[in-house]
Amino acid sequence: MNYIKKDLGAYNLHIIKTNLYKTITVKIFFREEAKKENITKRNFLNRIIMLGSNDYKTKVELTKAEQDLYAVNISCTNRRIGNYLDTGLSLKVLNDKYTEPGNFEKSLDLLDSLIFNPKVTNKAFDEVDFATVYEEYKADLNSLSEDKMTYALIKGLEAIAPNNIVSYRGIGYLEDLEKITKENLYSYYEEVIKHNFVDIFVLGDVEEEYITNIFREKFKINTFKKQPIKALVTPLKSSRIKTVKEDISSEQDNLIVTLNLNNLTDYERNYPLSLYNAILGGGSESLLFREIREKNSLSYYISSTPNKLDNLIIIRGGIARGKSNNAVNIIKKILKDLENGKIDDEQINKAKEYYTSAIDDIIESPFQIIESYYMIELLGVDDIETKRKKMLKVTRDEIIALAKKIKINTIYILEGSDDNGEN
Amino acid sequence: MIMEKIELKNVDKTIYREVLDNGLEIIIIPNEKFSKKKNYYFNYGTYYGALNNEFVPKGKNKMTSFPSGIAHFLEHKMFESKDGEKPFDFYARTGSYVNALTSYKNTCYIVTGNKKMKENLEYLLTFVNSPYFTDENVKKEQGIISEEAAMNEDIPDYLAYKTISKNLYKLSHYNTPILGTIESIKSITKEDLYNCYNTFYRPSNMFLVVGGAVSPDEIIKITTDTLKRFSLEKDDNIKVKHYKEPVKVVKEYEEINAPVNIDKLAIGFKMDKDRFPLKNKVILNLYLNMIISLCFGASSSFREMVRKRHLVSRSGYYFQDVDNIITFMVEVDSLNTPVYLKELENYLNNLNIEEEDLERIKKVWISSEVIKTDYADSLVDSVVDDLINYHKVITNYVELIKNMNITTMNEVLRSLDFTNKAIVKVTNNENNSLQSN
Repeated sequence: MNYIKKDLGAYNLHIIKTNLYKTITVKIFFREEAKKENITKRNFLNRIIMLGSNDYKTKVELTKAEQDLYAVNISCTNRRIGNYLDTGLSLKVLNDKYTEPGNFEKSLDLLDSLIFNPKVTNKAFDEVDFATVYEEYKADLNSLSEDKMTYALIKGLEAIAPNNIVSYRGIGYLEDLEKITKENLYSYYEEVIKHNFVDIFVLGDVEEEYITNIFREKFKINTFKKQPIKALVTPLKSSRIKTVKEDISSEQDNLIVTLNLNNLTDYERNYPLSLYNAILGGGSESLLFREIREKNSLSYYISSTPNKLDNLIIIRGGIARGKSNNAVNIIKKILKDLENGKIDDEQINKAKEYYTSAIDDIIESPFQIIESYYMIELLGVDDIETKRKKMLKVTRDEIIALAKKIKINTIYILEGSDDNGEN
Repeated sequence: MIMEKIELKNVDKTIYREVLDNGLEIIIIPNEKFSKKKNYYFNYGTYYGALNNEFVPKGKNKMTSFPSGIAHFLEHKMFESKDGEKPFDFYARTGSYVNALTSYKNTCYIVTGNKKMKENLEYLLTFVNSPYFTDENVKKEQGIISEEAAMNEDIPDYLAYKTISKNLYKLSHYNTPILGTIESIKSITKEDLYNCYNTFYRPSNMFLVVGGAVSPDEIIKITTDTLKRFSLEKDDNIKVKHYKEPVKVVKEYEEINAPVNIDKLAIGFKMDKDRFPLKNKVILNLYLNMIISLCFGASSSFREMVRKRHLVSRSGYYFQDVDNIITFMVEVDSLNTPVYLKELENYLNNLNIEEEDLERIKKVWISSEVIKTDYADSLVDSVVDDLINYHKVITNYVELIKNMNITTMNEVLRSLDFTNKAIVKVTNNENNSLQSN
C-alpha cells in the first residue's frame, strides 16, 4: 500500500495505491463547524442530491445510469466529529480492468453531476424532489420514539445539557425541518460547496498522475481557505450526578449513563482510554456484560462506547423492566472498583489483543483504510504502526490514573410501562 | 488426503471441499497468495433451526414436540462450559470475535480473527461439541432471552412481522418467532436441550466453512485432529416431522393498536410453489430476486411513484421460500394506507419486465459476483447461504445469471398469483381518533 497526499489548492487529494481490491473507491469529505441549525439542512441536502441531478432527472434514470456503469455504488452519510459536521460522499466501482476502458471516469462524471449540477432552477431546488424528501424525512422524525434504543440515546444525551454540542441530534429536528424551503436549502448548498473544508481520497490499483489529472479537471472546487477549527469539544463542567426518568409504553427499560472525561491529556485520550473502555464495556468479556448480563440476567445488550472528542463515555443497555436502578448500582460499583485499581493484567492483555486485532482488521475494507488516513489528516493522530506500538506499552497505572478522571454525569432511564400497550 | 478443488467459474477463485469420515462437510476459501490481509472467518453450523420443532430425539423412537424458541435457546447455552474459560473469555484473550445466530433453518457459530488461528479453530470445534446444561444455567438464560424478546417486542416492525407470519402460516413453524414466546422460553428444560443437541449437533448434520488467511491442508488437519477427541460417528438418520402447508392464508386482516406515529403494514401474498415452471430452486430464486430488483428496486417506476405521491416513507419487498409455498412479502411505513393498497394491487396485476432492463440487472449482478471475491467474509456468507438453502455450493452463479432470459422471466411472471393475501396494520388508535375529531 502506497500513500500520497497532494495539495490541489482548494482541497487535498489523497491517493492510496493498492492491489488488494478489484474496485476503485473514492470518498469525498466535506466538513464545517458544527452548528445545531445546520444539522437538519445538511441531512436534507444529502437526501435530495441522491435523488438526481440536471443530467439524471429522476431517481429511476439515475439508478439505471449507475447500473449501466457496472453497478457503480454511490452513497452519502453525515455525522458529527467533535466540533465538525462531516459529510462523506462515497463511490465504489470495479476497476476498468474488469469492466471496460473509461468506466471509472464516467462513474466520476456521474458523482460530479450529483454534487455540482443539482436539479435547481432560480436558486431553488426542484419542487417535486423537495416535497418527496420533506415527507419522508418528516415521517422519520415523527417516528423517532418507535425505536426505543435510539430514542433513549437521543434523550439521554439531551439530558446532559440541552444546548451543548454533545447533545446535538444527528438525525435532526422537526422544528428545523419545518423552516427549510427549497430556496434556503439552495443557499446552504452554495455555502457548503464554497466554504467547507474538503478532502478527497482515492483507493485502488490506480496511477497517481492519472488520478491527479482527472480530479484537477473534474472537481473544480474553489473553497475559500479558512483556518481549521479544533475538533475537540470543550469538556463539560463536572457537577452532581443528574438523574432523569421518562415513561414510555415499552416491554423493557432503556438505560443511558454518560460519563465525563475530565482533563484528559491527548495521550490518555488516544491510548489508555481505549483500553479502559474495552475493559468496562467494549465487548462480551467486559465488566458490564459479565456483571449485568451474565451474572444478574438483567439485560440482553449492555455496552459502552467512548466518544473521545466529546469527552464522554456512553453506556447503553436494555434492562429488565423496573430493574434499572439495580443496573445503575452495579455500574457505580464497577466504576468505583476501576478507580480503586481493581484491574488485573489479564483484563489489560485482553483489551490490548482486542485493539491490535482491530488494527489488523483495517485492511479488510477500503472504507476502513480511508477512514484511518482521514483521522490522521483531521485529528493529527498517530499512524497505525505507531498506534500499535504505543498501545502495547500502556501500563496498568496509566489506566488507573485515567479511571480516576472519569465520573458519572447523567443517568437517563426510559422506563417501560404498560400504558398504550398492544391489544 | 485428496481434497476436492472447485473453481468458482468466471471470477478467478478456487475453493476446496472435503467430507470427513464422520460426515462433516468442510469448505475452505483461502485468500490469493499475494494478499496481505490477515483476517480469517470460521462458520461452524448445523442444519437445525427454529423450524425443526417436532422430531424423534436421538436414542428414542417417538415423535416429540419441543417448545418454540428452543434452537435459539440452545445456541445461547452452547456458550457455557463445565470448567474453565467460557467462549467469550477465551476469544477475548485471543483478541478475536465470536458470535452465533439462529435462523429458521440453521444455527451458526462464527469466529473472526487475525491471530492465533489454530487455537481459535480448535476451541470453536471443542466448545460446540461440549454441551453443558444445568438447571441453574438454564434459568439464568431465561432471564437474558426474555430481555432479548422484550427488546424485539418494542420494535413495531417486528410486531408487524410476527403477526403476519402467524396469519400466513397454519402449520409451518415460520408462524412463530425464532426466539419463541416468553411462555415457551420459560418452559424449556435442560433435558429438552440435550435432546435437541444430541439429535442435530452431529457432524453429518453440520458444516464448517472457512475463508481468508488460511491454508486448506492446515484447516483439515486441525479439524480432523480436534474432532478425534470426541466420539463422533457418521449418522444420517434424523426423523423430523414435515408439514404440507395449506395454500390458503390463516387470517386475512388484522389491526394492532400500538404507540406508533406512522402506520406499519405487512402484507403477504401466499402462492403454491407448484405453479412455477422452474423446478430448479437456485434458478427460480434468481428469477424471483430479479423481479424484486426490477419491479420494486430503485430503478422501478412504482417505487418512484409511491415516493413522489407520499404514499410510503420506507418500503421493503422480498420473496419468502417456505417448503411448498412461495410468499411475496411487503413491509412498509405507510403514509396513506388506502391509496397505497389500491396502487399496489393494481401494479401487481400488471407486472411487466422489458428485456433491456433484465439485461442491465444481469450486468449489475455479475459485477457484484466479481466484487464479492475481494471479501473473504462475503464469500463465506454466500457459501453458507448456499449450503443452508440448497445443501451444496453453487459454483457457477455468473453462468446462471448470463443464461437468464426474458422468455423464462415472462413465464415466471405469469405464474405469480396475488389473490391469496394477508394484511397486518400496526396503527395508533389514539392518533387516529384525534385526527378524526
